[in-house]
Amino acid sequence: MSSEYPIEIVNLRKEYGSFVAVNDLNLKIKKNSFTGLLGPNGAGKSTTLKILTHLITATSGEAFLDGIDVTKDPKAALTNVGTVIETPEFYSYLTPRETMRYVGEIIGMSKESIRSETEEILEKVKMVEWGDKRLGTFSKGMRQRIALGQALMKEPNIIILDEPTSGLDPRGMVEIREVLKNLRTDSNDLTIVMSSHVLTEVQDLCDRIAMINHGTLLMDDDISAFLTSHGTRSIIAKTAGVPAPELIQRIGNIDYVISADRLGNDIQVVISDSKEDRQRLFHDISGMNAGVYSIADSDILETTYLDMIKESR
Amino acid sequence: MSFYIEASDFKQVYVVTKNEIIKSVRGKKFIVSLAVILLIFMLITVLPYATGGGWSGKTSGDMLSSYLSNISMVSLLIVALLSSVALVSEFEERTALILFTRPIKRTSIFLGKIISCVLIEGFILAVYYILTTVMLVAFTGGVSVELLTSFGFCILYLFAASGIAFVISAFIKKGSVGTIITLLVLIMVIPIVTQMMSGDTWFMLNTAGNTIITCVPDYVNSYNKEILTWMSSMQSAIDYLLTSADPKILDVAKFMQRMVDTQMFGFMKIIEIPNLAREAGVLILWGVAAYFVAWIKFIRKEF
Repeated sequence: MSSEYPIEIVNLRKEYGSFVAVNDLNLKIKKNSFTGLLGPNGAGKSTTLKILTHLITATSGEAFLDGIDVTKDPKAALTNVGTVIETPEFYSYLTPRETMRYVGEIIGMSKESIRSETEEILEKVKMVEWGDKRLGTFSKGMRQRIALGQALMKEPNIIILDEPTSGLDPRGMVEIREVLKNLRTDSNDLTIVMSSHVLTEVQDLCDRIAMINHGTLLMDDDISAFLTSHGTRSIIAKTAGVPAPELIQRIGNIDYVISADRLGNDIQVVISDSKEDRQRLFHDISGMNAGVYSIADSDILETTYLDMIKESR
Repeated sequence: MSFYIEASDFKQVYVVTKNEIIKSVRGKKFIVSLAVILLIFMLITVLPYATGGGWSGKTSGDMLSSYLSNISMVSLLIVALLSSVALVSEFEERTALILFTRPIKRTSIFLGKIISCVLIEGFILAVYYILTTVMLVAFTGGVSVELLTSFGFCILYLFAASGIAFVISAFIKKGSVGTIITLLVLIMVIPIVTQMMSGDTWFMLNTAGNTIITCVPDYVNSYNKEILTWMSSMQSAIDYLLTSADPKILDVAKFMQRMVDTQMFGFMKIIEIPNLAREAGVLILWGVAAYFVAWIKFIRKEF
């Protein structure tokens, strides 16, 4: 297996009786990428990640982690992998430091490395002052931060996250995202794959997107390519009240604008995906003095996502 | 599924065992089990004084009769409390999401759980045996070495009964249900099946478990002495009734004679010291067979 792809899924299949949860899935996750795994409920995301983390067994196919097939030798395959699957629970009688020690001992770390890494990680997940309190008393957000912390023990080069912010309050979500963002900047050799339902979260964190439905891969690409939707970008201009047809026409007549349409009380403008055109559009619309108070990227991820899921039905 | 063994597997078994022991010791069930054992010991120790008797002048056999007669039942209670949740709790409490996704074989986790359960349950029973030994030394001036044999059988019984609890724990989805089913199976189902069998039932779990007390000669002698005294009294009464001219009384006397001859009073049976090696083998076999079934289910169980 090529080291260019630390995670490689080959013809992976999982059947539950007559229901096929993962349907001969093929997917390669690029080294040092942060890949968002998207798909509706029942698409096969969690099943795929659970096979990768040896929580369930595949009916057929292979799933390589660092070149080792997890379906054949899970112990070796998971050696350099950190995981947060859903919202795991901890042994409530342990403290975060004891949890880290337990995980560290399981993965064969020395006492000294466990001690030093634990402090580093608690710092990273902002849980230092809670390090000696029993986990049974922690909120869901705090437990999830510890879950993320334990996944970082022994500096893994692969991290697998299955809906890591699911069930958290907005503050908890932001905290987890902050930790994940910092991980990207702190590490030179880290490949992350994360399933999520929160598209803005994927947009915010990931640089690649893999979309699956009915257990098969629909697309796998850089997020920028996904967002620009084949070289174009959709911009939403918001006006106070209903936009006048004349205004929409004026915008549509600008030479570099591909199209301008009314979208509810807004105007959707499609231009080429270049910074220059975006700057010019901002300048030109402001200059029209037509009551436009906001110009921003439209939620093209959501639109494209829904389109793709619809097409795959 | 891989079946080869690496050196790191043993270290991981040790790590899991250590963690499971910490978990048990810090948990409520351990405290409850220890409290039950101490309460039983206190009651057995104090009640003779409350009824005006006390322990002075009692023989070693009398004391062992009191202290050991319920030990197998108490062992089962402790097994039901601690072992029946050992496997299911990882799934029910979602801790498997942390442990199972690590580079560790499920077999190592499984072995760590067996060892920790037997150690913890053995510790609780050891407390009881130590206290019993103290009482024996205090009131009879010594203790028979067979008490150690009894403790050994107690550990084997815990091992075997825990195996049954592990099987239940591997198949069910809720720990509380597992505890109830384990109690039912160990305290009701197996003894009922044994009772329905004819002939010697040395191969049954509860019969082999009785070796905990029947391996102590002092206990066996003291128990049999009481049975013989009782039977002798009964025989005297029957002989007296047989001299009656009233046919109704004669019928009662004949019925009582049949009861005595066939030992139909159930609990009033002469007991013998069993074949210790055979009974130890039975307990080990029950345990190994049960753990094997539980292991097969556990390593294949999906989250």
